[in-house]
Amino acid sequence: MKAKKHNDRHEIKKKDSLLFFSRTGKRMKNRMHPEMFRSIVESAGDSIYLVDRDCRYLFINSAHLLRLGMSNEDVTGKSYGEFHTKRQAKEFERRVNEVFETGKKAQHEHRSRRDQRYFLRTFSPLKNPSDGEVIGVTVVSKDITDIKRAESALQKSEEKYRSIFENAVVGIFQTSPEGKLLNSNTAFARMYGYQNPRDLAAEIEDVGRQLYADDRDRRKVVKILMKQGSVGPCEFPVRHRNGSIFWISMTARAVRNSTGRLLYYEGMNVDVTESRLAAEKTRESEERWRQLFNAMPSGVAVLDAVDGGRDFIIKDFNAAGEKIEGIPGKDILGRPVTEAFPGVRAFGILDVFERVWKTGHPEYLPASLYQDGRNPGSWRENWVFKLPGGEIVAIYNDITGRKRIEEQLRASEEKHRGIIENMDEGYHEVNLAGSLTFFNESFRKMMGYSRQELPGMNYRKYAADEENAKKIYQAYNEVYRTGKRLEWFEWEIARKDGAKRTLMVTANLKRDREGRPSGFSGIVNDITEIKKAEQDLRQSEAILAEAEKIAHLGSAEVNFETGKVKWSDEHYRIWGYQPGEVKPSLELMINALHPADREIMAQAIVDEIEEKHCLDVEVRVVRPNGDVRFVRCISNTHRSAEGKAMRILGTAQDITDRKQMEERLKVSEEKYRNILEDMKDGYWEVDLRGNMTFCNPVLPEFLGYSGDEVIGMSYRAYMDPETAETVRESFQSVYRNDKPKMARYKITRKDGTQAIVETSVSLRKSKGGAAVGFQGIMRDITGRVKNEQALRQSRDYLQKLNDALGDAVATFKFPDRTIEYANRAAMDMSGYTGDEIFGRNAGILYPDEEQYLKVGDILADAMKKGKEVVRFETVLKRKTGETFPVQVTATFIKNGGVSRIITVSQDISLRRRAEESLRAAEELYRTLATNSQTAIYIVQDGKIRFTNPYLLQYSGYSEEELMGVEIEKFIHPEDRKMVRGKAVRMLKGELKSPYEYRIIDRYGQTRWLVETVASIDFQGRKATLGGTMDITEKKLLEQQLDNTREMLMQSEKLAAIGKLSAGVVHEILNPLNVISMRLQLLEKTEILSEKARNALEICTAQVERIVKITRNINQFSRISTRNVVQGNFNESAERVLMLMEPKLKTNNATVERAYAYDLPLVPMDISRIEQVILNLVNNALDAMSGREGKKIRACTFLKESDGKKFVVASFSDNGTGIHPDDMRKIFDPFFTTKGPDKGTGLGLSVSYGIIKDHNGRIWAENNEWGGASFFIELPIH
Amino acid sequence: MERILVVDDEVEILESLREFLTSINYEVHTAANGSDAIRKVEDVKPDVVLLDIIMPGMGGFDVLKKIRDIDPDIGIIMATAVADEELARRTLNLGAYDYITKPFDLGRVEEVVMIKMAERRG
Repeated sequence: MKAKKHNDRHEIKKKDSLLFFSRTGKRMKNRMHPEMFRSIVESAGDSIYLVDRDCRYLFINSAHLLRLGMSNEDVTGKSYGEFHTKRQAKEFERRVNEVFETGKKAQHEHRSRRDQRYFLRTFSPLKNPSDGEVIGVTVVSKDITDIKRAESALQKSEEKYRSIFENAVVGIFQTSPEGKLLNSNTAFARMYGYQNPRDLAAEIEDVGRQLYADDRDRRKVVKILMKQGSVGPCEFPVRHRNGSIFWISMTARAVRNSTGRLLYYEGMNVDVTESRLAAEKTRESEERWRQLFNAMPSGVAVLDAVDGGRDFIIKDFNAAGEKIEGIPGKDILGRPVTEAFPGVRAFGILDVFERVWKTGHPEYLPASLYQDGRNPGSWRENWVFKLPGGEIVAIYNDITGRKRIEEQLRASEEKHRGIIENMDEGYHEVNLAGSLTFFNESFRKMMGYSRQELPGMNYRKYAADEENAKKIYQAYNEVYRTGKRLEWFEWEIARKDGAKRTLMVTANLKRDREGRPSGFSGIVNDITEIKKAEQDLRQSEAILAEAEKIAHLGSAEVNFETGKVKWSDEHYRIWGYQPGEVKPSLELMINALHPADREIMAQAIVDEIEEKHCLDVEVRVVRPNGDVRFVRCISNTHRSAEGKAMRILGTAQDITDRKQMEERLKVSEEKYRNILEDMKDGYWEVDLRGNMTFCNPVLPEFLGYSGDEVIGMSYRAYMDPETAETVRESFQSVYRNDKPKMARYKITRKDGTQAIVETSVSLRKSKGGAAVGFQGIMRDITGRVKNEQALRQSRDYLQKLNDALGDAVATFKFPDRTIEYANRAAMDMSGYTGDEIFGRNAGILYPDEEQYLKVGDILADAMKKGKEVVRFETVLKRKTGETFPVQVTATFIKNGGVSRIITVSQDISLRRRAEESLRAAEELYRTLATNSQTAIYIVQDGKIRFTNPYLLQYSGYSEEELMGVEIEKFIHPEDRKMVRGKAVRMLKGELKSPYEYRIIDRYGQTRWLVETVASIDFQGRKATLGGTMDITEKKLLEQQLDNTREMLMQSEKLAAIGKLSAGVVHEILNPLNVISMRLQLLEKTEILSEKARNALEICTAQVERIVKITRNINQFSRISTRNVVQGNFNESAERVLMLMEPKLKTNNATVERAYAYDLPLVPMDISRIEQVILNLVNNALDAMSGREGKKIRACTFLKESDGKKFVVASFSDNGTGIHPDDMRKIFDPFFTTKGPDKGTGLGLSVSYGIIKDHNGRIWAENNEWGGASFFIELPIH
Repeated sequence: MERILVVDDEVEILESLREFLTSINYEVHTAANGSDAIRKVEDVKPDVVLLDIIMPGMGGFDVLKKIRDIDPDIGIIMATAVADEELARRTLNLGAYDYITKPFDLGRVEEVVMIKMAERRG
């Protein structure tokens, strides 16, 4: 039996069954009950049935009935043909007949049509026991499907083995113990350079010598084989047919027979030359890798999992890691990571290790604080990934420094950024070195620098000067030392444009998280204007007060309307009171005067009011304590339009000291001169009656008498009675006024000749002050008078000429500038009479000494340079005190050693006033333009000629950047045409209402303006005056409103679709289902023309498309977020990008990531948000299809607005961008710009719904650099 | 022959499924609504019921529960409109054997039915 074929088992069973039949047949007769027989047959698993010659079923067991699916009654008596096909029936009949004829059993294999199973059918004759006649055929049908399958599998595996042996890349061989090659495969032959095993066998006699590179290797192998029975894999060099050496790896075993005799060796060779080379290379690369490993700036740790991933053994550790940890690698190598770094669990990386080790997905552990006993704590970020070998690698960076900066930044930014930006006060922060780290817009404006220039700028740069830099340095120093806030102090800075500004600043110490001082912050107020105004006021007040004090100048005001009288402090003092001591009144003022002066004063006031004279008197004030003060009073009257005096403003100057000095000076001067001029002039003293009491020796000579003769002589003795009378009057006048006087008269000498003398007369007083007589100096001027007379005649003529002139003409002596002459016009101009100014210094004509000296310099300079004529402008003062500008033409004359100047002056008040008013008007307009909240500009020939500061402020440009530049350059390109059209229409007067348009400011931002234009004349030519207002804020608000409205509409649309979708989807899907199924059934039909099959495929594809659409629509009904958790947006984005990596790769798209790694968690339904991200990334890919260098940029950041925090993410592409017309439609359901093969137009719409449901926002913008960005904004709370 | 009861309110769906399931040697019975389905379950004693969730009158869920009451061994395969995991999960929790989604993938229908039948055979 063992020798029999594989199907011998069937044979046995078959025999058994036959035996069974024959034996039981016999037994049945003898002992067994027929039911027993039946029961056995019935319980058999095989089909058993009995048929007669006509193939009618006589008996059929239940196994077969089951197969046919029929009952006994259905089948018994019926023929085989009724249940089978004609062909099957024919075949069956043939077999049955055969058995009837031969009486021998027959067997054949049969495959059921019904279930495609294989059966072995045995047809056995049922013979009549009495005569051996065949009366029926029993058919036993055995299911051999499984055996068949096993058989075929075996066959296949044999084939496979043979094919493996022949085709194996592994060389397989058998050698005899002596070293002869018994058998080998093709691979083995080829390995050694032979065509086939035959060729090899033919050439190789001794394997050891011919195939081994070193015979000793074989001996070694054989030795091991003898000892251990098998060897390998071992590597050694072998010899190629061409003599070259290559490496193989061999495994071999010794084959022995049952008695243990060695038959042969058999084994396998693998050519390992390549892998040895590869190994060599691997070693090199390993070496390189190790160098890199140690040279990496990041710490790298290689870890082996132990304890099922609950702990990790440190396998390797690079130099950077040692440095970060401060531990030599050798101290921790081989130790569990939890032991080497006790803080890892709390740090959270251990879980990451475990996850990475289990899943194989790399992970990133964002910056976290690592701490353990020996470590004060440092911030690290970790990248963890798994090596193919199973080790975990952690690459990490110590980012404590960076983290600290980030923290500081955040801390500072958290500080009411919104408030700071919007407050009028400047806010700024500097670091400890005093360099700006933060500032708000107001501060920037105060400084006048641009946003780009300011950061990092040190206060020394913008401090007004060294002193102010020092001031702030000291302030910061103090704040740093005390930690206390410094309240407002003044500080002066210099703006970028050099203008100095006075600021009020506070200084506050800024601390970082750890409480260490990190810088200073301060609030800044620009008080330059206030300061200046204050200063001006204070100054003018101070100057006035000071001036009054110095000049002993008091002032008083009498208001005729209110009757009020006001005195300045100094006025009180002059009148002998403390300021405010008495109630000032006009009566008090006048009654305090010396009785002799009261009338003078009263009259002067009346004259002043009646405009007869300007009040200018010197009076004596008798103070309450009896002191007498000389006071000069000058006043000025304010009149109403009708000329009525409203109030008098008067000044009172205490000139007592001057008066006394004058007197003293005069007396001492005179005395001095007396002596000096002893020789030339006569000095005389007379008593009150005019009798000579004393004279010098010269005097008697004048008179022609001897010295003795003149003493006691009356003045009447040497002059005619008429002259004597005038002399007497002058004595009287001098006596009365106590004022020295000059007198000129004719005397008659003793010899009768006459002479003209000039004498001064002054009162001679006793020591007690009482008048005792007169004194004087007399000079003989007879010769001079004659000259004078001649001169006077010509002068009269000149004077008449001059008086006729309209211009003021005057002559002065130079350099002392004594006024010699002035014509009528000059008198009128100055308000003085000739008597008042002739002989006096020109200084009285000037309002102050400065003007006087300045003119002197001009004149001296001109004279020095030999100029004959000089022309200049100066200011002169009238007698009334009024100043007026003049234009002066001066010429120089030299006459007998005396230099004179002749001036011709023109009052240019009127011209000046015109100029002034012009300037004032200009000033007014400039002020208006400068301070206007409307930007004003002038454009001529399309170029900007003028702008006001407001325009500069909102456009961000400097004046230089705008001047002369084409105005269109600044207008938004899309608006240029419109603006041109509207401006032209407005200039023509056709358009009245202002128009709106956009400009691009200096920072590339779009700003909205509203504008009106008008035609003006500018510098003599036609120009356009534009007035614009910045309405960007308003526009933004409007836009926001629009957006909100838009969003509302959008969500309404979505809601409607959501409501509809569920029902609609069901309604569509049912008919679709029918179509789909029918198509599938059609597809199963074998006979279909190619055309029909094509049509079928198209239909199937279209059905799938409808399904896709319905699936998307259906999402609307399920948009509501159900599973909101605190999620990490970065992780979600990363998950989606990882998921999409294959697609991104096939599209040649690169992804750039800019995640804010400290992004807080945000409440979201993670799967839905990821669906949105997926939609956006897909969308980006579609937008870039057919482009080179596709790039997707995923960016996340934290946004704060109105005290709320948002996670914002953007997904940008560099594709075609969104057409402005489409911007509003992109979130509409079924809106798509993609081809019909892509997308259903629902992705963005669904995304919109999802984000809306998160109370977030989603929107799109076109990038300036091309392509579009989609933004998602999710609220954190 | 193993018996399948198909329940759907759309005649065309019933007919299509009948054709298909018969072609793969199942005995197919149909019911056009919930109450009809319950009657048929009692009469025919199907091995597997293919049951549409959304039907007028007695809905799929109710029918599911009633059939489970009659014979918890009957394999009930729910037909849902579109892939909705949550709905599907709910039917599974209520004792459905599996679910198929519209439009039906006949290959999938065959597979699910076959597996259930094999399970029943033991």
